[in-house]
Amino acid sequence: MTKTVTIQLRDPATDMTREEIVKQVAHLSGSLRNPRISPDGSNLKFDVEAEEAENARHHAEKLCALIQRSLRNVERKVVYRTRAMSRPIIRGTTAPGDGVYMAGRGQVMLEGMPLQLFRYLDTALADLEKNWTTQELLTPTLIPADVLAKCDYFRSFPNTVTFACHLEPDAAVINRFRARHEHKTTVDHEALTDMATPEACLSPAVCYHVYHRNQRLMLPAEGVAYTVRGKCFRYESSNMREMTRLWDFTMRELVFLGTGEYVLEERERCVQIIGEFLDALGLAAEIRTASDPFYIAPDASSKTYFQLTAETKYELSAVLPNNERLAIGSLNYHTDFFGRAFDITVEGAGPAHSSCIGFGLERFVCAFLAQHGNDPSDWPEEVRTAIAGEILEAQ
Amino acid sequence: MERVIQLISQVGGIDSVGVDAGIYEAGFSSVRVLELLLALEDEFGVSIPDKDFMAARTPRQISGLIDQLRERQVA
Repeated sequence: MTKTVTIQLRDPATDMTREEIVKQVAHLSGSLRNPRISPDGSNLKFDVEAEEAENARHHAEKLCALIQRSLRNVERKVVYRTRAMSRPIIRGTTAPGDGVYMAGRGQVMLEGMPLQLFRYLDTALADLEKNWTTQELLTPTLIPADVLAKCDYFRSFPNTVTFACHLEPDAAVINRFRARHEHKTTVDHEALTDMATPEACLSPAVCYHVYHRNQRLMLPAEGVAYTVRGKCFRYESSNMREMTRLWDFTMRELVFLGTGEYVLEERERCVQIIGEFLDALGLAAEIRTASDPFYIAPDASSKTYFQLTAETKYELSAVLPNNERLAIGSLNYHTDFFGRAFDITVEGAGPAHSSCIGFGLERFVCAFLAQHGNDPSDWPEEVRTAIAGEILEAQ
Repeated sequence: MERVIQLISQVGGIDSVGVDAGIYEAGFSSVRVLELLLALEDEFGVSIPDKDFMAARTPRQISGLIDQLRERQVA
């Protein structure tokens, strides 16, 4: 039996705390559904199995208080607003349609026109990255567990980690597993006890590979920039739906390592360049400050543990149907946290600072199709021509 | 001071902490340090500015900060 739990919030939820609470509360219980905050922001409601209700209430109260406290001093600021924001037009939906198939929870397959669009956006973003002299890094999908530990991931976001498991390399275990699964259509409940301790995970972000690659190196005073593209995995519990919140997605990132001044200046340059790109795509979107609650040491040198200002994280927030929003990318500044964690220094300037600009490609496709619809004749000329050319080439 | 040390031990899940020991060195994670901040604000009825809290790194400094804030409230 399902029960609706209501939690009175300490203070009325702001725009930023609202979305963060709804996102994070879903991790509290596997049966928790439909978290929603009242229009006046005074309370949170969710549905959950009756026997889990009290436990979920207890943890949700604590979580809401932490999020609200963490973001108490952080205000929303828009740093770029596209022309289409003055009158957003929504011609499509975020629901899977032609060429978009859900393969499982949080897993999407693209073909046909959405796939062409995915490729177009990926190439166009790679072209944007040519504004910088970059090194390209091809990365594995796996990431060693000790690298994620250095990123503080197991203390800060263990709920989102996807572990790469395999059976113990032991004939008895393997034969037992094989025998149990002779007539099964999925993995059984006992399987977990047959698994070895994971030495690797599926990477939750591609920039972590860049810090790992530069471990114990001294970088030139002028800094370095990397482009990297790969699959990312973040388990999002009951939040996973359609293309808006995937477990398995593709990220393209531009990563800067160097002095604090360098990485911040480059991030500011990105705001303008990306903003103009969003305008060229005719998307109604904003680049705005975003919440990063439980943020890992924004100022690692003084060991501070929460988001001091709104400047730590910007997001590319695109308009969706029903006044919803979708973050299709983000621009993050990590201070010297990763420089210290991986012992990366800058010649004559101490621990390296870092910033990264990431784009979620499937979400980009989703926002584009939601706003422009499935009929290419409604799309910006440049996109239509490029994709038509690609289709002709394929033929 | 005693109550501050109790809260640090309780929230941090550590047996004891010296009055001049750095709490961050004791391994407080980002979530734990926020829990401590909330617990201190609730217990002592003060609103602790983020920057002041980050500068106070030992039980003695945290306790001193809370005393200052409470005096300011009374004044």
